[in-house]
Amino acid sequence: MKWRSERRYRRLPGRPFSAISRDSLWLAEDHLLSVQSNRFSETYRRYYFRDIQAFTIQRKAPISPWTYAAGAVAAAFLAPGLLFEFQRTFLWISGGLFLAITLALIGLGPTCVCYIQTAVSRDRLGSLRWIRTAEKALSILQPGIEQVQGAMTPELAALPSEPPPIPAPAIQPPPLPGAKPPETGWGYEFLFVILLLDSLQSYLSLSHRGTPVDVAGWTILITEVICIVWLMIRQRRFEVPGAIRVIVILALVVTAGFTYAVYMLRTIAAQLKPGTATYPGYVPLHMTAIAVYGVLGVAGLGLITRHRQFLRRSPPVASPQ
Amino acid sequence: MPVTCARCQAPLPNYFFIVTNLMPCPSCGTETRVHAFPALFRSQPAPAVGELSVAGEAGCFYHPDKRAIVTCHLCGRFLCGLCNVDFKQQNWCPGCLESSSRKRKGIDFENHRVLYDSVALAFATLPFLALFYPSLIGAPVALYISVRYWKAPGSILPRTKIRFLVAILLAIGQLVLMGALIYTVVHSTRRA
Repeated sequence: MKWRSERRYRRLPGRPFSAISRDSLWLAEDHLLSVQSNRFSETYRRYYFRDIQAFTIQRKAPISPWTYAAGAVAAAFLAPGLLFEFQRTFLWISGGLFLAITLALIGLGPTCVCYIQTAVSRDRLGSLRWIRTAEKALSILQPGIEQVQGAMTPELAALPSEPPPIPAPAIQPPPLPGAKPPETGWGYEFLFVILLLDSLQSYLSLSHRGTPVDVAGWTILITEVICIVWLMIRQRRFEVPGAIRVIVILALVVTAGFTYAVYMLRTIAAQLKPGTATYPGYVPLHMTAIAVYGVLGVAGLGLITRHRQFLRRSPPVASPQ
Repeated sequence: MPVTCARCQAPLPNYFFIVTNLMPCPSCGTETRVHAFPALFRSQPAPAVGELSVAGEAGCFYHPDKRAIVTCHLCGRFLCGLCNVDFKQQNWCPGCLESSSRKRKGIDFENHRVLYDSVALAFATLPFLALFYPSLIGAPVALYISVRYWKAPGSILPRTKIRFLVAILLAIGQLVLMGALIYTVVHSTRRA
């Protein structure tokens, strides 16, 4: 029996910050292998050393939006833990965990976007998301490429890398086939505010139980589901960043998961002790809901705000004369 | 293809290719670093068109009127400049390349693989976590996938069969637990 597959590739540094997809880079003797995985299948793309023209690292935010989100959740857990006696151990442990994640993310330094360029393609390397990681990975890659192509010299760089630029046409070219217009509606902002409201409702339901809170909970849940479905339909027609799409899908998964868990736990509690209003795991489940909806809401609002700013800052297209 | 800023798509000047730190893009100011390699300055060969053959010269297998310049390293067919595919420093004909890719001859041709071990592990764990009862279906499916695809090629990356093993053990454990539960329920009903 062949227990381990043949070791032909060596992993390069860099891990994506995603629970669903997983990009990674692997180094072989004569090529770089980019792997995109959804945990159940893998798609490979090979870049042979002789074809690689350049890597571009573009600095993004000094601190990633996930760091702010983790910090906000840590504060959300630690502040009540400091003020109240109620469930203090749970709050301290959860808050400490998120504080550790925040510090670890700060320690990773500024984030970046990394691209690989060949004569015919330019692709984003999803696993290289921090400048430090990208530089480390490229320092491992560089000797292999230089062995095939030779070292880069200032004399070589002085040569023109491309023919003189052609003057831009006065008339805006038609959009590329398959290109989608950017999303300009306010649906995403609305959904992320609803998620934050859901987090607040979960927080309130810890101390206040009754019909008004239940009605508010159901209203928020129904609005949330309608909004998610509507946005998922719109995503097919409009261009939206991948991270925002992931948050919308995560919101749907989390909402379905919490609703299912609450329903099952209520059913079990009702069978064990008929007539009871509460169920086992009520407080931890609501605490988790506060944290998860809070993170999704804050991260989503941060990302959509940044996306809007990016759209506003994009260079204006020459208007038809 | 020129090296452009990832944000504003403006072509970056040549001094970006020799500096070793982040520099602001002249167009949008985004801090960027370029690791450039000599391939960027290599002139691209003109697209092969295949020269016409004259009487007495060997013609291409696919284009008999074009002059053959190389032979396919796999099947030995004569190829013109148009049909020759330079792959891994060898000359390939389009037919051999296509059939090798279809028959998965060697991992260099593959661009997609299904990770059956992860699928089996998901069937063994997720239904069980979803409050036990769905594992009535999940455990047998996990067992079937583990046995059926034990020898199927997995990832081309270094990977052990531990996921298959864990999936099998979990699935057997769940089935045993389920059997014990059913036995207890039936036994207690009969006694009652």
